[in-house]
Amino acid sequence: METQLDDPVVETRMKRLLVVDDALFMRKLIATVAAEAGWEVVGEAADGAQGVALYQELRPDLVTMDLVMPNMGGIEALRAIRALDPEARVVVVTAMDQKQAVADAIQSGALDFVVKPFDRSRMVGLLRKLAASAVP
Amino acid sequence: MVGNAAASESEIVSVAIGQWAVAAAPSRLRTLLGSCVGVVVYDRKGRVGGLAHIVLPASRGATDHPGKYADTAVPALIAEIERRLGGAAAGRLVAKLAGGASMFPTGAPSPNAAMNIGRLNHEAVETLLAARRIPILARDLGGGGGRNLLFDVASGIVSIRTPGGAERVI
Amino acid sequence: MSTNLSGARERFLRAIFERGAEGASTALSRWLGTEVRLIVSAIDQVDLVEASEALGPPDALVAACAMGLVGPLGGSILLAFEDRAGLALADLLLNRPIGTAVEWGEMEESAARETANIVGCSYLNALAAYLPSGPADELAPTPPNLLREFAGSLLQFALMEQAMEFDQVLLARAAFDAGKAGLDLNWTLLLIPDRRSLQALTAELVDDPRTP
Repeated sequence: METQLDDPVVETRMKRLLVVDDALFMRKLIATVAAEAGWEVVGEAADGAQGVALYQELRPDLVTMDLVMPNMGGIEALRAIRALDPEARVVVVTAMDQKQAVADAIQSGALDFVVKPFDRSRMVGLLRKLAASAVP
Repeated sequence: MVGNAAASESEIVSVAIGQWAVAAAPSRLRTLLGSCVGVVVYDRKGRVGGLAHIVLPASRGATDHPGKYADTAVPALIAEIERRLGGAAAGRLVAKLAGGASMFPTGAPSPNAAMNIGRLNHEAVETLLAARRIPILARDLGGGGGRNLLFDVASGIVSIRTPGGAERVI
Repeated sequence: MSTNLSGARERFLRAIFERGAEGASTALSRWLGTEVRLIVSAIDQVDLVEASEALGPPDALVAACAMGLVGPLGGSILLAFEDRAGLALADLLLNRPIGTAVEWGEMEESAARETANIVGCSYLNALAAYLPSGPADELAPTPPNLLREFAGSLLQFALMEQAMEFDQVLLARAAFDAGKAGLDLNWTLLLIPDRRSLQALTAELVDDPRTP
């Protein structure tokens, strides 16, 4: 079990986040909210394929994943990421709010499903909780 | 449909979707195109010309919207031009074509006949004009955007404005 | 052949489009941080000439975000606006005084596209509840495309699929209303179903001669 003395560097480092969304505007918004919750954005992808490639390269602690994207959608990218890393932690962040989308996302391995437009303080709360439980 | 062709100085006759009109110089005819094909036919010597805004290639017997289909609009257009000229204008009619753009890319996966309508309209018009031995002097077809077309009967010049603001002449 | 829907079917369509507009209003207000409603102005069943004027004079230039539809509904959603209204919305999202942006940059374009995504998705989310559905029947838009086009040409592209079979075309229109906030955010939403969807949308109804 880790204590404060065991590995202070790991305890205090910013958690590493990969943001996947085809909208530049949304990537920047998520980055701002995430920073407030103690996350450092280490990569941004504009489509699912780029998201998978960056995951492979960066091995972030968390991914936020949009669903509707060109080139490769979020569900496909989520599955690919979970296939290459069964421990991958992905939160879906999408404007799609239908039963099937939620089911697909959870069944494909998403940790949570956030609907856009999201409430900022709820998002900060969620990200803080995820930062606290991130495996170092 | 026959447009109002009372030839006042520099009158511009607007041709709406699925319609056609004939006018005498110095009138001009205009229309706005997307996937539809604009067919200009004129007799420069006789100073009479027409513009048809064609939506679909084949009427399949439908008679109530003759301007909408290539196979009814083109013959009607030519017949009216010849009527204005007081008889057949054998060998003097020429044509220009514009439009036939593809649908804007939405990425919707369903293969859609509507995506090809521009090309189908173009092909239908080419066939119809060839059958009447009317040469096509110029074409401005395809692409992915709209065209604001203006045809000057006196000179035969067709000018095309695109959404980006560029203007070209055919 | 015309699309002409019977009274009951047309009322049903209007009712479910209202639900769509309400869902989109809630999402849009949250997104912009101020109350903006989508008001369903019309379900038009009109000939092509009239339809080509649905966004104003056909040869006027408009900016538009276009999205295709995937799933139980096919066709497209268009969000159309003048540059001024598009840039104003971007300013609002970027917490800048309205009028700051005078031209489209990458961020402004992205803000417009994401707004279209949110409005389109929330509209479809609300509509989905009223459609016949089965497993794996998500009603989704395709990623939005921002373009500038003559209003009439844009409509021509979107309506062509219906025009292949019908003399009258059907489109649902809604307009943004930010009146309370005193903002001029003049965006128009058009939902243009394809032919198979016109069937699907009213599949719940059975033609009853007693219902006019």
